[in-house]
Amino acid sequence: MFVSPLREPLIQGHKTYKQISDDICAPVEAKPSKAWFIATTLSGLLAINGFVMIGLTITYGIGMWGLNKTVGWAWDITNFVWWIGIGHAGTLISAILLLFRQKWRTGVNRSAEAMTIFAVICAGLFPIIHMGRVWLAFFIFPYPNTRGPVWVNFNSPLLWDVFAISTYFTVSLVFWYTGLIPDLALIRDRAKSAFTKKMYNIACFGWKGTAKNWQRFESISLVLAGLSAPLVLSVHTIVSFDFATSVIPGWHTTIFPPYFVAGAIFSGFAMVLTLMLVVRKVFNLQEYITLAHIEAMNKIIILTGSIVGVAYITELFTAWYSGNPYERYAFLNRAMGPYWWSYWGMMTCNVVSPQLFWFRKLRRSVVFTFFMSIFINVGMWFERFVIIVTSTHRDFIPSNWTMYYPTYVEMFIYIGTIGFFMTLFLIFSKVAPVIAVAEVKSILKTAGDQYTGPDAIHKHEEDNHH
Amino acid sequence: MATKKIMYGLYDDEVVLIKAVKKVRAEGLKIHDCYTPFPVHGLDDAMGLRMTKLHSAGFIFGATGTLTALSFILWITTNNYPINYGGKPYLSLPSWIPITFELTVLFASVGMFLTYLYLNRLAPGMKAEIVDERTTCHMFAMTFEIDDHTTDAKKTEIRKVLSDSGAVEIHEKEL
Amino acid sequence: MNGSNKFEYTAKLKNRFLGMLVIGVVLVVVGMLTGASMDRFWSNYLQNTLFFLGISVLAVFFLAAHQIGMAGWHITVKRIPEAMSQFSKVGAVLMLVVVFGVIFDYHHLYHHWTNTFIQEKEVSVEALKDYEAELAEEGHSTEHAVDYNRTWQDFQYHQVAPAPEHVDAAKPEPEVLENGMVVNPYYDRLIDHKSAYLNKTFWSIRSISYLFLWVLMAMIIRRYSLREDLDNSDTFYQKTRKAAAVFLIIWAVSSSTMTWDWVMALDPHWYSTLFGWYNFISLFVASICTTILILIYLKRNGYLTQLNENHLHDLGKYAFGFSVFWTYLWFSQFMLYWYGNIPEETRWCLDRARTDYKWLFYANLLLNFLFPFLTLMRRDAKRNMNVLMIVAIGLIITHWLDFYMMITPATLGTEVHFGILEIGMFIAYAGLFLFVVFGELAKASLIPQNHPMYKESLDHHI
Repeated sequence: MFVSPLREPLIQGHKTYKQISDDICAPVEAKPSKAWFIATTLSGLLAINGFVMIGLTITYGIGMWGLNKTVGWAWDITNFVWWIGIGHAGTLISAILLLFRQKWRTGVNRSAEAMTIFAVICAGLFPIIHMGRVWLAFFIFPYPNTRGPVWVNFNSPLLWDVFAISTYFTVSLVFWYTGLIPDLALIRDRAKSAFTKKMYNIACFGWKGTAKNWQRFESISLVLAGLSAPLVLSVHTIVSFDFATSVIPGWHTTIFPPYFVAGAIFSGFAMVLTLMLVVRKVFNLQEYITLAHIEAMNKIIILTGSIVGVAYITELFTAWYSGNPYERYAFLNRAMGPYWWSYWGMMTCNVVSPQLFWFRKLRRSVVFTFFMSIFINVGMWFERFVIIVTSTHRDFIPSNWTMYYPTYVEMFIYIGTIGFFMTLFLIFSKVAPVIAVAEVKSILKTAGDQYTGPDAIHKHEEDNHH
Repeated sequence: MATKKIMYGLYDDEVVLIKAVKKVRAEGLKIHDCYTPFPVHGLDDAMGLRMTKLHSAGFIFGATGTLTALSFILWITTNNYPINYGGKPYLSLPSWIPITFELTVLFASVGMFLTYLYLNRLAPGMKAEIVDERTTCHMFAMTFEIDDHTTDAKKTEIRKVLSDSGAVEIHEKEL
Repeated sequence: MNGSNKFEYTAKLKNRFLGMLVIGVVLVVVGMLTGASMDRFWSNYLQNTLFFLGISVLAVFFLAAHQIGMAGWHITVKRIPEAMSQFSKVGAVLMLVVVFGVIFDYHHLYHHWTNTFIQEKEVSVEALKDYEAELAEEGHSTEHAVDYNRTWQDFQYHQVAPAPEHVDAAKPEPEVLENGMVVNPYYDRLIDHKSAYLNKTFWSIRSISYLFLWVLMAMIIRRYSLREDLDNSDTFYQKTRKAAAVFLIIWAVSSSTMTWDWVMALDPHWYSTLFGWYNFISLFVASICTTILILIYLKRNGYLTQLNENHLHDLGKYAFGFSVFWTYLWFSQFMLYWYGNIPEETRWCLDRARTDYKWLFYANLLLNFLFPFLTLMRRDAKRNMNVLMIVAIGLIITHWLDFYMMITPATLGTEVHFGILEIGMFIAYAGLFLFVVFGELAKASLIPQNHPMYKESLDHHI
């Protein structure tokens, strides 16, 4: 298949199929390094600390947090939306970029999908623990019972969320695992010890790699991509419905669904970059996660960041245009009230800073991208905080206005989830290849630098089935 | 499963493999299977494989999900235990769309995944009958089924076809 | 003609389109003569101008987005949206007629806010009497819900229909204040508030800016594409990239503001933050379908031999995917307003869902969602010219009806008027659009063979 010389190569170093296997499997096959042990221990400790805090919350109640009658949701739901948003990039990279035939996704999709699973796990903790009486959490599922039977409230967006997050977790897991199976088979076949072979054979379900296997693999990947694309839109849309279906000024606005989705993709890609920039350095995978990949992700960051910016402008305009004094105040309060610093932090990190990626030099700078990716995630955390807290702490009746401050329990739970996420990702990077080996091999002939780009030495071969 | 005797040729390039497959089929030989480390475009066409119907199964599973969700919610909200939530009508279809959509996707995905595992004979603990461990790494195998009745002439013919089409190794094996 | 890369714009085809234009105009005249009001004429004029101008500007969007995304498959297709984009010149002129109508008052489309009388809190007694006389003359009853002794903090909603119980039998005379003025009982606090944005000057400047910038970018991108035909380097590819980026930034803002100015401002008491994007996607689907139809026509007439089912498949995917996305936006807007149940917001939906428009309101959803969703789901369907043709024609009409449903209840009230005038206007615009677009197609090669991604496009198979 012809590839225009304008396209940048996606695999550097004139690799052969064997070298691709060797390079990407190396971190899995090697013994865990000291750095890995230290990182896993540290993040594990943070995670354990977080779980201890969760234990305190369950034992002593939500009073351990800083919530009050006026501000019923704060750090808990901010963190929930933040984590879910981050998870969306994985599905987007796998599904939507597959539908758009973007070959560069193969360098990052495996890690991004893993990131999604771990992010959704972290996200899912919050709705459960914020219930207080978590031992009654099963109430939220519709099952026949002897209390009426009392069913769940199908009119409530909180219930839609239950279905959405459960579905999202399940489908992401299925999609990730389907893609992982052939790569686990690769590790099985390269393994030297019988024990490793056996373990990985169980993990890869006995994958053989016949032509029919691959045909079905491609079919299910395409359909799962076709299903996951609207799914990822729907999940964050339903999360946005948690707010938009209310009548609270600053929450009840029709632009929330696509705006939340764009914001989720924005923060998700930033997190993928944060992870991948470290992974490629530590595992020596710069030839597979190239500047072309980084630039492409940064372009998506400008796109989605700009969509978020346009949504902010639209909200601000409408807050004025509507003539609704409560809506107007909600936004004045955001910019100039007691939480002004979070609002301006959000604006700077989300609107101003991604615009810097218009400059090609910055788009292709690893260091700049790394700091920017963290900046963006901080900004997106502030966005959810601004939406949730500034709208609830001062709504219709001034006598109810109050301030919210987080307690150390909430802060450590949040930091704990970051630790938990890191721990899960570190374990993943040790047991499975962080890059989709089979998919990278399938783009070698069209995107390898011996076939395209300035170092190309091969002419493109004619496909045989024309 | 009974042991099978296999003769196979290993190739180091998928383009060569596809050409070989076409040649082999043109000569009237029946290929048992091909093993590749990644999906090779055009291989299933060259081998004359029928297109999989997996996506149709997905559609049916999804439609089941839609009907399940809608009918279940309808029954609960209008018949079994109708509750007036905020003045909304009992039959409030807009509210049900998110859950209906989610169940559609869930049923379609999980249904397809389980069907996929079943069709591909994948499950934790399944024994993988691999002809050569390098076919998941960087080699491509074309296999032929042979048994005790296969004549030497036939075997030589297979060998010849394999080596002429560019196979770098040719082996016999019992699975 | 067969396999040629140059489109031959025969006199026969030209006459066919001009014929459509003439028939359309005749039908419009007949419609006017048989009792259609000027308001109805202008409402249709706005709807059709917006629709067809929108299709042509979205063609620029298509080109710009694909340029920025470094797409290669669409090179065999791209001359069609390019030709469509040049209609924006004509569309802009037609839109200027609407803009001048606001400035010079020859139509009443935006009368809700061009009416400056209702933006004054206190008026003189004579001015009030003159205003009421004018209202009576135009047939607008002065009898509903007028309380002369309200304060200006109350505000008056646009009534859907005069509620009989609010008709005052005898009205007390307005109380004259110290300064000799009376409190204006028709004062509309909301409109007064919005007048910083919705006033003739600012509105006109904005409208003219959008038209100018869109036409400018459409012309620049087209010019680069034509020059690329004569150039063997990738200079024009890079120039087009920059132009595309500039256009996308302009579009990011103007796609929403144009909707606020031209459609949302028809009903200035209402607002929806999603409205801009909703209109954008509606136009995008219509634009893709227009591209599909023109493409099928050319292919059926022996042109574009290098274009195969794979290119069609991708366009079919767009029609499918963005129809689903449109539905998602429709649902988001509707469901959130339904759920919140706030009168300021639901009134727009009720004007459409509880009046005679309700058939169209719900059919809009079925036609623009279920129809493409079910017909285009299968892979084979997206590669089949017959299926695509039917779906594309269907979607263009149904998205046109979507705009009808957005615009007409606001301009004409809740009684449905649909007849020869509406059909004729659509046919006239369609004829004019096709006449201009096919003319543009003839001005350049049908496939830009010098484009750096040309070979990729030839080799496209999915």
